[in-house]
Amino acid sequence: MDLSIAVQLVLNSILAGGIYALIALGYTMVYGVLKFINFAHGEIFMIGAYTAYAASVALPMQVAVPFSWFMSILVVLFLAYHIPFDSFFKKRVWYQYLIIAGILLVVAKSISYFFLYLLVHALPLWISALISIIVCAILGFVIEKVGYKKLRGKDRLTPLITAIGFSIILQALALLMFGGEIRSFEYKTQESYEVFGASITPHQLLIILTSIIIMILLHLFLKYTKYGKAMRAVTDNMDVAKIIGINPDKVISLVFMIGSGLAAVAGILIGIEQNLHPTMGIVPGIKAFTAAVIGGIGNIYGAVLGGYFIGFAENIGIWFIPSGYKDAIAFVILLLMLLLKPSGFFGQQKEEEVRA
Amino acid sequence: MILQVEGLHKSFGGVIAVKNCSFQVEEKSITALIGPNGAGKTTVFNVITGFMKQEQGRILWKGRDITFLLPHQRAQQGITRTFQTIRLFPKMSVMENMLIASPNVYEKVYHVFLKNKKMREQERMNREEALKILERVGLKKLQNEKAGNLSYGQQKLLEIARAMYKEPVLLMLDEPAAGVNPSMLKKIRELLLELKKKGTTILFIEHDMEFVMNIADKIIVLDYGEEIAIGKPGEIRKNKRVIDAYLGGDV
Amino acid sequence: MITDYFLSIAIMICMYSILAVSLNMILGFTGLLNLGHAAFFALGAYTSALLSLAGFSFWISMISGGCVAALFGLVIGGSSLRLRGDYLAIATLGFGEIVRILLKNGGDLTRGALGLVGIPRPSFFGIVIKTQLQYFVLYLIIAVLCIFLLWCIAQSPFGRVLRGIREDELAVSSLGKNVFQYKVIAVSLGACFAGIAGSLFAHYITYIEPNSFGFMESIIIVCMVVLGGLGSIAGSVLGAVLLIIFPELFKMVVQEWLPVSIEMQAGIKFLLYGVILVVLMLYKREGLLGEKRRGNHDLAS
Repeated sequence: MDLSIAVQLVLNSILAGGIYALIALGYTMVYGVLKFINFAHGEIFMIGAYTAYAASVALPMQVAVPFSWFMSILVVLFLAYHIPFDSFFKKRVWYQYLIIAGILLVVAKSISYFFLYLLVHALPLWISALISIIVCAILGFVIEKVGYKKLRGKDRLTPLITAIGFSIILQALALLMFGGEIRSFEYKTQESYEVFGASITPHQLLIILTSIIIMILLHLFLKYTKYGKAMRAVTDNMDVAKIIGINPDKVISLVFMIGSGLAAVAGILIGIEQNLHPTMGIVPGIKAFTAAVIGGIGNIYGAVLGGYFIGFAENIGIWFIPSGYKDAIAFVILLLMLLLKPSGFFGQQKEEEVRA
Repeated sequence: MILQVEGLHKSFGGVIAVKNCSFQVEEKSITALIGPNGAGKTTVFNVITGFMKQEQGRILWKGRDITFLLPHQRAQQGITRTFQTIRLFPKMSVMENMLIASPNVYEKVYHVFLKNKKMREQERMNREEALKILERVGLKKLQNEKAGNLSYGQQKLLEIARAMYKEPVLLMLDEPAAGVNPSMLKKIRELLLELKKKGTTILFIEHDMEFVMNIADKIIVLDYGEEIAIGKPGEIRKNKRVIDAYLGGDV
Repeated sequence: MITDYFLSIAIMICMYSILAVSLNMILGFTGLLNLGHAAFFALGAYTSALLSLAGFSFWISMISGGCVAALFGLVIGGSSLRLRGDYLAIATLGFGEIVRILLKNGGDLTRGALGLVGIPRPSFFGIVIKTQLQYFVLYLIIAVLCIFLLWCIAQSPFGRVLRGIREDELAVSSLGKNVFQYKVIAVSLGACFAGIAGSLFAHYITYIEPNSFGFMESIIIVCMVVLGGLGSIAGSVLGAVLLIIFPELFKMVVQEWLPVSIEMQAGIKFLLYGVILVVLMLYKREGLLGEKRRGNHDLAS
């Protein structure tokens, strides 16, 4: 094999691997804390891409208006969760919900004008990225509070079906707001650099570096900050964490927000490189889930390794088999893992838990 | 002896549930397994019937090591059990609960369509058999009632009836007397004695000492997962270790 | 023609009823949330389409479609049923996608993304089924037969054991039955009927391609079963009826007021499915005709 081809393979693998790792982190963190697979996670990746796209492009009104509503409703729900509404009403009256809903709607409408203004203008990439990360973090938070919190613990399938429901809702919303046609950031095709005979564009370099930097930041966060340690404690043993005085709800919210933020970053990075469409989250989502399983679901460092492993497996794989089967490689690995070694290679779970 | 437990050891996470437990059950006898709460009795049951795997130790059935048999295979050997938390099929009728227990040869898929005479004959015989048992336990009138609608005592009887249906070699009952009123208790005792006469071996877990003393041929006492005494009711009653284990309780 | 439109909806209902009931057999009795059920649908469709194109009669193709799907059901059930709840579901998703990719890359046999065209229409004693009315009558009969068969299975001694498994598989195991075997056969049965529904689909639309059997298809079927209530055959049929009629009604009503593109229609339909799933799970887990489950029972045991 040529050196340049080998280098190209490695670069492509690290590229894809970094993306899968970022998404896999979200899966694995949520699972570590709640023992639950957030099926809608891949769609958050997709929304991240679309949000960044929407912000960085001068969006036409017919798209901007509904999307600005989407963003403002999310923000309003996020804020509303933190306001104790019951204290405003001395006794339970039936119309209190109408009043609350009315107020929230008015607030939402006002905020939406702000977002509308942002969307209609083309913003620089880094601002769009920031907006996207924040929106997705809030989205993750809202989904957890609305859908998953109530269903915690009872059985395994109900939350899974709920997650599937959210996944569909998000795809449908993307389809309705942006249409099914493929869109892309308006970036001109770039000159690629030459590295040992392989070619790589500045964007691709950005993706590789950003994924690595973000993962390092996450590691530092988990290891040294108060919240990071709290997250690790809850992952390890929720009951003991509660006894020490950690509020599991706050930690769970934080986990969802960070996981969603990471997925958003992945979405943004992919969005600037490739085209966007409403179903773009499904396949990367499953591959990232596979990565999380390989690393032992619940194990953060394992998820990162798993992500890169899939990246390499895919790109080396199509050297030997037709490229139409590229996606199938990850699915086959997924099946093999689930059937043969569901606890992954570095997992915390005992085998007994996963087998029937 | 028909059942032999040797050196059983089972733990959950860090907690040792059963430690070096060994005992034998003689054929056609009634043996009681007693001990304070948490002593590991149900765990021993679960290991014997195959629902849990022991870490160490063997289980010998009629001399053969059955450690590698799956739960349903052990049941096919003639070991049936009832559960501490009654496990009936609540949405199915009493009769259906019984019929599921039948060793029906015609339960495969293709038999759905080959409704020949032999199948109908067997189904009819199974029903008759089930009715006989239901009548014996006094549940015949309720045969079409949903099992979930029965009273607690009736459900217990049904579970025992179901376990009896296959004419088991070894009948294992987990707390058959728990929460049951005295007249029902009498019925259960009579039932068990009848079964013993017919040749069934019975092994049961119980807390009701009076019930145990009245019916058991042999008593095995567990405490903290270890067996601390084995003997006849009279011996156990005077055994100091047992009395201590129960904190001077109902022995 | 207006009645043709209604008939086409009725035909869809027939096919999806069989699909929903077949998934109910799997989900309701074994607790396997088959997210790749559309794969059985696809296998049945492709098998029967290929056989029909090769000259075999509709009936042989249909039965064969069911058999091929049943075989895959054995494989998928046999491997997935050893896993726990959510992992199991993901595994079926994986299988579903693999089948779809295989069909897409099937080269000359399946003609990949182009799909199979010109599938011959079914013929019944020499009469070729052409009009919507004829299709409707034939498919209605087949659907009723299938559902009746599944009902018979549920009532048989075999079905009795399955129903017991649904309520308490440990208890069934303690009575000497090999629960795993029963579950695998249940999956295979469900797959078989899904395959039959697939062949009906192929011979009605006369054109099939891999993308019509994707993940979303599987979800739609899951939605129907969950809406109707697990374990309830009538519920699954009801779910199919509701989830096909409602979007059409919605389309008719909305189109009076807003011009809505085809894309938007699809988007609204998907939004509906997603919202139904979420709302059902949050407020009425047992579906419309299902029964309230006891406290210590999972949605899927």
